Amino acid sequence: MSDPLLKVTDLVVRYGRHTAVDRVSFEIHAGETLALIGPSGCGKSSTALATLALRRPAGGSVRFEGHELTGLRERELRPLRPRFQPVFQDPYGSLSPRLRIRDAIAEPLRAQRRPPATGQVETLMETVGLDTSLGDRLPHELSGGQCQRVGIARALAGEPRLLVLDEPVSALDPSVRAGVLNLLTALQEDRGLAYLFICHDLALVRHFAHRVAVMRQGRIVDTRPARELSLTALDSGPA
Amino acid sequence: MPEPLLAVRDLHVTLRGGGHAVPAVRGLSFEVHQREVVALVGESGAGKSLTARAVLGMPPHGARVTGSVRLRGRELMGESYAGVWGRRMAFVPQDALTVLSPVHTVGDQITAAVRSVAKTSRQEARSRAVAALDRVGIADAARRARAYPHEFSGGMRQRAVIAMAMVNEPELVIADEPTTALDPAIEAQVLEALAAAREATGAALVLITHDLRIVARHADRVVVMYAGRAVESGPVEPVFRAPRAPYTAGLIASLPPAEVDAVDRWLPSIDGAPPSPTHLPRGCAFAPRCPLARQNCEDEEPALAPAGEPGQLAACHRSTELPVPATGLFSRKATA
Repeated sequence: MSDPLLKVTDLVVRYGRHTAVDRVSFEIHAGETLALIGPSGCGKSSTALATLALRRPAGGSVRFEGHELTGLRERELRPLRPRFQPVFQDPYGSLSPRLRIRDAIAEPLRAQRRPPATGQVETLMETVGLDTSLGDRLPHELSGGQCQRVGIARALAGEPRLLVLDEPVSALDPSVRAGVLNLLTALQEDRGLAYLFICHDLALVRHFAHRVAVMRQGRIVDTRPARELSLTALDSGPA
Repeated sequence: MPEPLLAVRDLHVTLRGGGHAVPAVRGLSFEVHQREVVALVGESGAGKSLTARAVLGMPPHGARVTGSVRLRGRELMGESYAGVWGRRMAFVPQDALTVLSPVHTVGDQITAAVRSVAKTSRQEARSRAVAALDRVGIADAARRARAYPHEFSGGMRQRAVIAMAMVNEPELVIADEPTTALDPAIEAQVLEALAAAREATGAALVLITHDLRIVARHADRVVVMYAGRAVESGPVEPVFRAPRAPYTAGLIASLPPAEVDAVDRWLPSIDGAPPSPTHLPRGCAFAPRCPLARQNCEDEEPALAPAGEPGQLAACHRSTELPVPATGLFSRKATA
């Protein structure tokens, strides 16, 4: 098997004296989805933030495409950031209310001082199934599902290899959820994207992920193929 | 059929927004019988919560409510709810902290709820409060009753609210997304607590949710709402097995299957998004997203009418043409 795209080893994240993530190790290969599941407060989101180099870990290693991210300064991280991008739960909250959709999608490119080529924003919109006529709208004029597609288009702008999906569909209406998940599946199959997928919905995890890591009190207590996940795996609840 | 416990007829709730009248609930009718669990399902904006608030006599400020809400035949619309709230009808909200006071202990608040409807001694009320907490599975209830809401976990708080709603043994409880904010494991515990309290008191339940799996597990009948109206209703089993409204069929089809298909990673999905209540289509509100829509669907809004099994109703011009299962009707495309 080829080298993993992301290799996290003995990751530790602390908030003051509280250890949120306690020696967590996992790896994700290109084209693969690893789901992180577990009760609220078990350290899933802290793991995601440290993986995205948005939270400095207290220990351990995060290797992405061969780069060790943990010791890097923000200046050194900046050229790598487009390669690993987050998609968050709240589709409206992730977008500036005053930026038109077109500009929201172009923003990450501009931040990289790589202004989008002619037609690039439109291509991204089409890729995520958004009508290009929506480009001049503001986020509040879009539905939740459309906003989440904008979030995905933004993440795709820098041609990422890894998306960290933190509850990407749990705020969406049931009738639009499947469409957004199908989009993520198609992007993975077309581009070999790797996903770190945080989700509460075990049936969804089993359908969408390849492997599942179960977290409890800051540790990964079990990793298994998603299809072997029992839908009652978490019934014992948090301690 | 005996007289229903709750009969809602032609309920309309109209909100004011930006100078416009926003028709949020548009002619909803449903019944709840004694000891029955009726689920109201639909997505945000479908009008579920407004329906609950209108039935409870607590519509939002400025809302216009018309229609009929009868409890055991007695009209409540426009009447005083004194003697109804707490004693005959109780409410469990999504967020427990909207009904629990932070400055009183949980036990004091439930005790006060008992004494607000019945002349009982403080000790008697207290012991009923503790019994109610015990019934929803709060261990060591007498001691826990002395705690404040912030000392409870989210799931315990929600169980405490259920205890408070149930303590006066109401005939009907309306629970609005009672577990949406909770983890799946805690959700299961809270729903079990709700079922246990309901069994013990014989209360009927209107359960508002957007989660069809909760409906399948906990409800006897279901009312599926879309854009302020019921598009389908009936006993849970036939509605899930052979839905007669395309929207219901699409929702069921888009659930990840219980048995994982080893090959197919695509979920059938409903293209598009729900309509805005200020820009409703002229005909069927679901027609713009419906794979079966024809011209008359766009011209004329269908009425709820018997379809499928006994007791099943659907508001769809093409309900007889809906295949079973309807999975193949919906796209498995990547994008919409």
